[in-house]
Amino acid sequence: MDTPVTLSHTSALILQTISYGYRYGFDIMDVTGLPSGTVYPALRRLERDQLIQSKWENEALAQERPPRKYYRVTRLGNEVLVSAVKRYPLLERLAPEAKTKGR
Amino acid sequence: MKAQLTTLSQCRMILRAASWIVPRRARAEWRKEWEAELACAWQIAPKKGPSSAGIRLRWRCCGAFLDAAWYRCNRGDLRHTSKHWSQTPTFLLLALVSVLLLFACASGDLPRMRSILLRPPYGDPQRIATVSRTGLISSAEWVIPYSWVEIWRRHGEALEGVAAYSWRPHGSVVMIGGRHAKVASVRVEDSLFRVFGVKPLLGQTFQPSDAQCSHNCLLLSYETWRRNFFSDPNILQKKATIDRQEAMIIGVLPERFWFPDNDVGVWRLADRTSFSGDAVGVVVRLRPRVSERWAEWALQRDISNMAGEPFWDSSLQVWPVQERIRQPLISYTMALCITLLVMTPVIWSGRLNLRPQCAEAVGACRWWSFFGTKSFLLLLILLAAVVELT
Repeated sequence: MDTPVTLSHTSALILQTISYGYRYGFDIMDVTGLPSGTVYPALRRLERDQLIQSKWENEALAQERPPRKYYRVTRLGNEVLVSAVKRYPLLERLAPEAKTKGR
Repeated sequence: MKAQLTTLSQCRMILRAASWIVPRRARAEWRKEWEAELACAWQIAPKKGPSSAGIRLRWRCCGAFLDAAWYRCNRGDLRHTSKHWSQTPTFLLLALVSVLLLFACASGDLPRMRSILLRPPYGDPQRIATVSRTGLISSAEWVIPYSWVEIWRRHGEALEGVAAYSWRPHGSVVMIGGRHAKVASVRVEDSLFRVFGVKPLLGQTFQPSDAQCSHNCLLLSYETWRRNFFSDPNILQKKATIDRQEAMIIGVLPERFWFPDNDVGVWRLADRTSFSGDAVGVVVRLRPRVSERWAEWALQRDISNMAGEPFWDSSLQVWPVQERIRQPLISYTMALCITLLVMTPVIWSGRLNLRPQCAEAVGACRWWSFFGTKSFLLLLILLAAVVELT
């Protein structure tokens, strides 16, 4: 990466939410309370900057519903998140509790 | 159950509408992701309360428009996109039209544009014309001596009506009911509005008997009445002055009527004695089936016979008022053409990315015809918007 990625507070919050195991757009909205018009463009930006990766759900696992796209934090994303947490000390308090297992 | 299904179909409709914003190559995947999320959210929605869940889902789906807009604008790189866009013909055309619109707004020509594009508020406009002298060096000589107007009034066989007006408007202060306005005023004969065949919006136009009135009789333009006097319906009964002299407002002219200039706000009644010895502007209504050329010849003949004017170095010109009104449109079109001509070397020099991509002549022709059609349509839409908004 040529230039270090500087995250906005909202992007950092979304990145941390994903790192805690909330991996779907609507899931992130539920726990952060952010609107869809903020969450989805932020997810696209994070993916463009290679801080998160998306993957389609296995069709066999998605029973009686269409497969969803889920997101996970990359190694670079984790590094950026660490610096973002230092930059935004209140982030830890705002972020939801970590999930033990993804839905 | 039926209401729930309606909510689901509404959400799908919102997503379908938003998906049109997304570039085609990414549309299917974008829609698949949103519809999957919607389906999952729908499965758990009734547990949280159907009505609030429905509203919430609809709101979330509305956010898809912002997501789609992001896809459309920022999928590559915003800076790259804007840089690329600034080199496209659409940007160039929009910039040109914006400059022209700004110029039109600043010069106060938008109301005039409206009068150009819409039907004028008087009858048989093709028969109304101004008369002036041509072939003279000084512009002060283009106007007509008032004595000629009297001759045409008595002998003009080509004319149905003739009226004189002071050819140069001047600034006046009009005060009506405690409110004052600085407007351009012009003195006209009572027959001017009969020549135009214009019906007033309020009150009446000048009558021959008004000349005996002790006050200055005034007619207001629609714009002056609307902007300076807030469309006061009782304006005719109010006390008025013009340049500190007592006056009486006898009427308000209809929208889009202007003469001789678009900034004239007040027409004052002038009696014949006040014009005698002066040079004036002349407006005439031609008889049916009388051409401008024939009218010029007939008017010139009358003056030669009655006043002894030889017309060695000059001649009379009968100029339809419609053409006079359309003159600014011609100026704007000329300005646009000149700007495009100036831009052409810039375009072909390669500084703007407007060179057709196809090397072959057929490809280039197709490209330019597409650009021309698109530009023309855009101009038409903008003109329609100008007409609607003003």
